[in-house]
Amino acid sequence: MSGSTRNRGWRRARVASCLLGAAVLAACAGNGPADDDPASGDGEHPGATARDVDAGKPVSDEPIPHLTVGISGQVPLVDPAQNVMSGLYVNMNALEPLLQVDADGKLEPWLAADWEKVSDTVYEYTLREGVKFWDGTELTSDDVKYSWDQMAPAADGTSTMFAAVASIEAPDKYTVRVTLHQPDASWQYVPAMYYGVIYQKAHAEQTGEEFGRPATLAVGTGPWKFDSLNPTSGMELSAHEDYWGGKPPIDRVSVKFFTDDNSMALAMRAGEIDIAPGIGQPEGFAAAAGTASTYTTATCATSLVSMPTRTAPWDDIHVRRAVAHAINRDDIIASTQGRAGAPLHTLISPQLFESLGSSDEVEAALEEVETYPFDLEAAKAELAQSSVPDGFSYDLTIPGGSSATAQVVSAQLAEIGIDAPVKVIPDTAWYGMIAERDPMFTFTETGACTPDPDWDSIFLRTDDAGEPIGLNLAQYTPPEVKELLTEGLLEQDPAERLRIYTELSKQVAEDVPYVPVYAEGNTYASADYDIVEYDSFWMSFPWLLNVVPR
Amino acid sequence: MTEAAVTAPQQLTRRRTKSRPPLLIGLCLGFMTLVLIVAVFGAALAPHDPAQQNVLGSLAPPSAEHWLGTDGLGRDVFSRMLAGARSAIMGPLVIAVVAMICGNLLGLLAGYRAGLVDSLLMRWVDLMVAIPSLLIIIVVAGALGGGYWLAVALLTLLTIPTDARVMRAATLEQVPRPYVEAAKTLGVSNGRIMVRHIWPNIAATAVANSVIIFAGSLVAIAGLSFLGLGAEPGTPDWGQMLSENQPLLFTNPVASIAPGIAIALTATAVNLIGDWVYEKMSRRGAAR
Repeated sequence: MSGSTRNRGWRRARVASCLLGAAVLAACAGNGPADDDPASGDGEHPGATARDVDAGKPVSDEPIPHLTVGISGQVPLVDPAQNVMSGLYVNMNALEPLLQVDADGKLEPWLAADWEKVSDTVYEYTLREGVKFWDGTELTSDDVKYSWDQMAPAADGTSTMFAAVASIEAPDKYTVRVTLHQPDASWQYVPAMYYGVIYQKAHAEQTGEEFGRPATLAVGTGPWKFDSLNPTSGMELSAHEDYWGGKPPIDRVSVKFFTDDNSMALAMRAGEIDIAPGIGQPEGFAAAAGTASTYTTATCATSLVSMPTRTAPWDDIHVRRAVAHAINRDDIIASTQGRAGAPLHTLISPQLFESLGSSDEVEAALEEVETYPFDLEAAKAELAQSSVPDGFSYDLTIPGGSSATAQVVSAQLAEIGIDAPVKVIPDTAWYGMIAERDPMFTFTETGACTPDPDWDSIFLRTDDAGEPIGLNLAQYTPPEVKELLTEGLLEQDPAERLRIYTELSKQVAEDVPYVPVYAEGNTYASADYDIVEYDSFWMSFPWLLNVVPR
Repeated sequence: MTEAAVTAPQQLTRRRTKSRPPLLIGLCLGFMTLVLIVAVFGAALAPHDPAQQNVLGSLAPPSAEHWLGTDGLGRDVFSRMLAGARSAIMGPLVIAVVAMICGNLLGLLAGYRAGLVDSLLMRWVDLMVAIPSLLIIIVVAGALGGGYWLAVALLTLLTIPTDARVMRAATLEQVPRPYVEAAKTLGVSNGRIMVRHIWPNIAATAVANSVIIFAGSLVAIAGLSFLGLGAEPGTPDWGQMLSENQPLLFTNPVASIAPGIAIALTATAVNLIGDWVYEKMSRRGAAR
């Protein structure tokens, strides 16, 4: 367990850090939750509506000759094993996953027509027949095995959760069998995530080391094929005529890279781009982009204040509870310029419980979890009971990018006598401090999530010796938590898992190593188009199929 | 052309002085006096607490209550401008004064003593001048996590060699002059000759150079704060405000334009005043 757990903890941390980096890159514009949409006549925004068409079909048939997409950051290459940042926005339209997560968090078929859990450790996927790569050859289980083998920790894949996989086999042309080291309930979602996409084995083998680079790119089954990539300026894609879902409605897609949100917003104002699918600061963007409007959805990614539980005075539970009561989420959310999706009171986002039970069951379970509403009197009372009744001083150390939010946290703590000056350090130094286990009072956004509640274990992981690993910023290591985490992965029954993760949430809420602040948001902006089913996993499949004209 | 080429420096400056409108210098002096007053009493003069957040009332446009509106966290931009004058002035002042004292001493020493001392000092200066200073500061401040006084210390260190080189050149020009020879003959000590005899004659250059350093440092520190390597987040600081409020360009443009204008105006005013002081001092020297 330990080896793979540790590996995975770090890998997730790296995915999170990469995406955090992308978010930092994206951040440079505007202010408050933005959801100004002129298109929603009947009240429900297209972004909040579910895809109601079959797999592979576009939501709208209306032909679009040319669509220009703006993204923050640059795409150096399209190899999914190496490209976890801005490239995702583009890759997913060309390279497809086997499954898809629907609006309710349930798995749906995509390249796989069917799948089955043969035993607790064996999963079998049956591929859709007649799926063609762009060069006309058919997708087979060999391609899937090859693509996934490249993501295994032993290969130089940098981004995956494939550490749980013992072997991948292709017993026949359309069957893929995955065997895990041990039961792992979170595996089921991996074939539906951006790191599980499929490309052609023959092309990848032929291009070898050069695979995925601008000169060779990759060959996939997606509705749009890669035509060219200029790592500094943009990409060109065109419709795949023989796409298994039928010829896609958008003939040509141009992707333009921008260094920050401001320049992207100005390009949108000038009509140079039609849609920006992932922006950092919606309010500033909307103000700068002219007629464009933005839509933000709350994701399952968690932003939180973390306290070093092993270091005085944070080792005093009353101090941590005082901080939890002193945090005013409304003000913090307003300071994120529309980036925050919704206030959050539990470490594991309620969204992640959706796969474990009906909404009533989840609601009933989460009601048992203690929360700490904003209450200055309660905060002062807790602090008065602590070892530091008169307050204390401790740096709020953050990586770049969250400075405004950290300043609000700092001002809120000052209200109860905690002096927490904001200290911004370079991202590398921040990750260095985590790796070195330097006690750190910090605020962070993770920028990513998977649909399984185990995702948030990144903040709770410990090694065999019970020492914190990965993104366990709070250095929070009770053995009961470790047991619950292990149990949660081994257990396969959703109802039982709901109980386990509720227990876990209760324990974490009781000890408050972290103060969850808000569910992070994803935002798109456009003057003429919408993205249907724009939720936490909007970019885990060919999202351009969900683009509809207003 | 020929006439201009042979015109002595003093005549040149005198002619320039005559053509310059004194009104401009008056305006600059007035502006700088204002900046200095604000730098000293800034926080006390501010209509609001510069650090007071009101997140839900953020991005207000300019009004009677908030003259320059509010920023992304609802803080009063005008109050932050006033409070920010101190960090705008303080750092450059320290840099200019320390660089002037150290640079002048080293320059005098190198120019007057010549020989090995001069060679050693000047090779060190060559080395330091060859380093792209702003880049080094960005790297060092970035690695150490930034901070206002770190930026000030680094800028001071990297400015001293430039000042030393200028002062050495000015000293070299003075050393062969008869008054220095006379002092030597009278047995005046070397230290006294450098400080009491030579320095007063190169003081105009020293002051002018320091003023240029002041203006340059003002812009450099603002730039470092803009990059997140200067003032700590939350500190009212013009460079920091420029960076923090840049995304508000379309929501409350004044919040980001005002600190930019303040930086530009102060740097320009200081430069013009420096020029004027140099001419005044040179003329006095020439008349003597």
